[in-house]
Amino acid sequence: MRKSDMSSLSAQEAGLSNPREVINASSVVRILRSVIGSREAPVFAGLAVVFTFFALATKFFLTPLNLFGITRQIAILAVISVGEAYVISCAEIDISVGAIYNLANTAMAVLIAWKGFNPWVAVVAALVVGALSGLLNGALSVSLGLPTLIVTLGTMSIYRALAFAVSKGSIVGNLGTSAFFDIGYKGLGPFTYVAIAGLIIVAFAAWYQRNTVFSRQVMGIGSNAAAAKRVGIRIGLRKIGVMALSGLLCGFAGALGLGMIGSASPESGTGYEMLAIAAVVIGGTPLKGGSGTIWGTLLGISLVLIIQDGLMLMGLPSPWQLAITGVILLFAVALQQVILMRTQRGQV
Amino acid sequence: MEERADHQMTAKPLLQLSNVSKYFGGVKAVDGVSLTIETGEIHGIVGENGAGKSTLMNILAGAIHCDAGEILFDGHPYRPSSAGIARKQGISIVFQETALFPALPVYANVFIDRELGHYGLMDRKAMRSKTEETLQRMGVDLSVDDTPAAISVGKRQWVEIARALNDGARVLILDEPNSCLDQRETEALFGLISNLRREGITILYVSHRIEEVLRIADRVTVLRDGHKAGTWESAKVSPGDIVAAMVGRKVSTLFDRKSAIREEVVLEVRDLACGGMLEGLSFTVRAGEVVGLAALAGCGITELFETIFGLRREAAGTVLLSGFPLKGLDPSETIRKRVGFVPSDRRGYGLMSNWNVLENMTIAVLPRLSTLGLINHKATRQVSDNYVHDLRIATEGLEKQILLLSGGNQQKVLLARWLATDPLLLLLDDPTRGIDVGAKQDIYALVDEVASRGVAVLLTSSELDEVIALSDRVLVLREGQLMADVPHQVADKDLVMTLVAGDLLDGKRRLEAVSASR
Repeated sequence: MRKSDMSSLSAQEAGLSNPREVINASSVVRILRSVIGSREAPVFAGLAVVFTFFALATKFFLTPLNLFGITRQIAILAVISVGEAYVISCAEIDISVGAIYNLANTAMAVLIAWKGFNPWVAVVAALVVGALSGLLNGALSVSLGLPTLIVTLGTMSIYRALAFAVSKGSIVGNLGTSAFFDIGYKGLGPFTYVAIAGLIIVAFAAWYQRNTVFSRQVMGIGSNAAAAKRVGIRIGLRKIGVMALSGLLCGFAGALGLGMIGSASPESGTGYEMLAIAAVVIGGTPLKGGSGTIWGTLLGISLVLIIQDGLMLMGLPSPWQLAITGVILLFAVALQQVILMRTQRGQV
Repeated sequence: MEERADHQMTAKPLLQLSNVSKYFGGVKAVDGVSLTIETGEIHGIVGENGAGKSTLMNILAGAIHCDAGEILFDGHPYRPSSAGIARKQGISIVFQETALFPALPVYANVFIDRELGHYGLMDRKAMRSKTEETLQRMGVDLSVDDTPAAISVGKRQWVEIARALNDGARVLILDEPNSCLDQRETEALFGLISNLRREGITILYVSHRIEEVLRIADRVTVLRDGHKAGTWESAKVSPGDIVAAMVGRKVSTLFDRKSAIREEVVLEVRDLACGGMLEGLSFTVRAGEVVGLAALAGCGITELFETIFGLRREAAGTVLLSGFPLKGLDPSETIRKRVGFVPSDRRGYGLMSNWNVLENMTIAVLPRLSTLGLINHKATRQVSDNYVHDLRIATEGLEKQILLLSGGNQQKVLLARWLATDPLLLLLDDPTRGIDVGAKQDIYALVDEVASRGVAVLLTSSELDEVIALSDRVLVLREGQLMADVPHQVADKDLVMTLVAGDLLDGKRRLEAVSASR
């Protein structure tokens, strides 16, 4: 996260205040400003407001049962969104994430129910299915020279059809009583194993993003592909890598989802692509790439899902829930645009 | 000759500029230029890059307002507030890079924003026939239904000229109209210009190519450092006179280089040819040597750099780096062979705009500052700190966003990006473009120092002075071929300019003479 902080911080300072002021400010003020000025701060503030609001407005929101459920859901979508954050930081987009989730989820259930696989071994299968699906997305995009938006628009339908074929269109249940199917109910303290797994993935991704050449090069492509080529970054290879990573994470999320629910539905993962993209953008990753924030993405998905959960508890019909998610998304994009314009005006 | 006598008889000139000046910050781009343009003449405007040609033409075309001076057009004060208004009054500019809609047919491009029709419905028939009429007036063979995407660069220019004529242009400014054209297309353009003159159109012809300007223009004005160096009748002046006027009196050298050429050849280029831009190019660059390339803008130097660096794979011929063939490698591989390339378009091809100084500076060397794909942050910080210090990069810190630095400092970051990779060969495509004088001196010193450490440097600049001052040898490219190899000792601007843009044979004779006398 430090990496993204660096760029966002200087960008905001330049826009919001006079540079000399920043130099002269005492270090306490500076630290305070870096927290307040960080890209994640508005999302965090928004999350706090929303959380407080629902806690006061509904009786059910703060109950352990609801929090249990919501953190599980956040964890699964956070894993998908982290992959999406990588893709978007490369100035690409993956709209097949829901379909890959569905395919991995279904394939895994079929292996367990009909082929007698041990659920823990079947997790590996989910990962492989996810990674291969992502790899195919990347390879198609690079070899055909097409944007991933178009490629994944095609593959999302194909992957869903594939899942349908594998499960013969039915809900695959009766998966036995392995401990694997307790991960959504048991855990440590207030957190289920699903939530813990999600948090570990997010933390690892944040570390990975800050510390690897791969991540830096992916963001370099997003920032300026022509320049990236001229510093020796192999664009095609990196794009395939980032799409495969996104697929792998969807596969993992599919496994978590199966463990939590205990059955695979042909409908699973529907709408996840929109949730993931919204989470990434609300979290502060610019759609035109070049930088990305993993913790911001976690905050983004938390905000979106908590709002949907809270509104549902208040009895609002689901179209309204979606509309409000849409409003927040537009607000986040508008905010990014304002910051961008301010930075450009601050240019020497 | 009779025609020219007529001009002199005309009572009022069409355009009269008196003491026109334009400042950008403290820089005088155009400084007290007075000039008269007669009705129906073809007036050539020549000068080096930065001499003020484009600024002056943009003032006439209404895109820039002059800070001082007066312009009379047809005897009336002329001060257009925008290019659109200038066009309405009868002065249109045709740019070197065409601004057409590639997928729309010719007639739609000609009538763009001025479509004929009623109640918002276009009258295609009327537009087609009017366009046909205009093209006929121009005497060119072009179908009104073709699209710019499907026709040659030369013909696209015709469409722009037709658009200007359609707007009722009386004065047509052609800015570097033939810089991208081959000989045949240039002839066609000259034919077109003659036709336009017969139609009574006055033409301002801006170009680098001295001989061609003298051929087509009635009179030629030379600009130098924003001043007018003089106006001559083409028939009474030689290319040599024009070059002398462009170059002016001898200025003190920009920079004093100490040559540090070593024995070993780092770069060897043999019979390189690339898509019609380059032809049978052969030369070598030794360790510690700075070789400068001089050519007209857009005449193959960038293509040469990109070919060496592995960005263009279609080239024929041999490129060897310390004996290893570079051809067929992509940039990731040529970089590993220790080639560095600073492109001329800093924003487009160099900077990661939303990144900070450290990230921009270390991106090329990052694989070497890491273990098993994990970045060694301490090492990147140390490398960046060193270069910020050594190159005196003015920044508030390594985390400062690169775009918030001045152009000169941005350029230093890009140079540091490559110095960090410890290159054997450094390709510098116009490394001082758009940066201030102080930063330029720093970059000159840096080139000198890099060469003294044994790096082979191949560079070019849009300013000929720089190429001459920085290089141990200047290679002159013309029509994609290597025309002359001018050693530093005899490279003066007049000679190199003659070789690049003037009378080639004369230039070669003079080069032989000075070389022999050494």
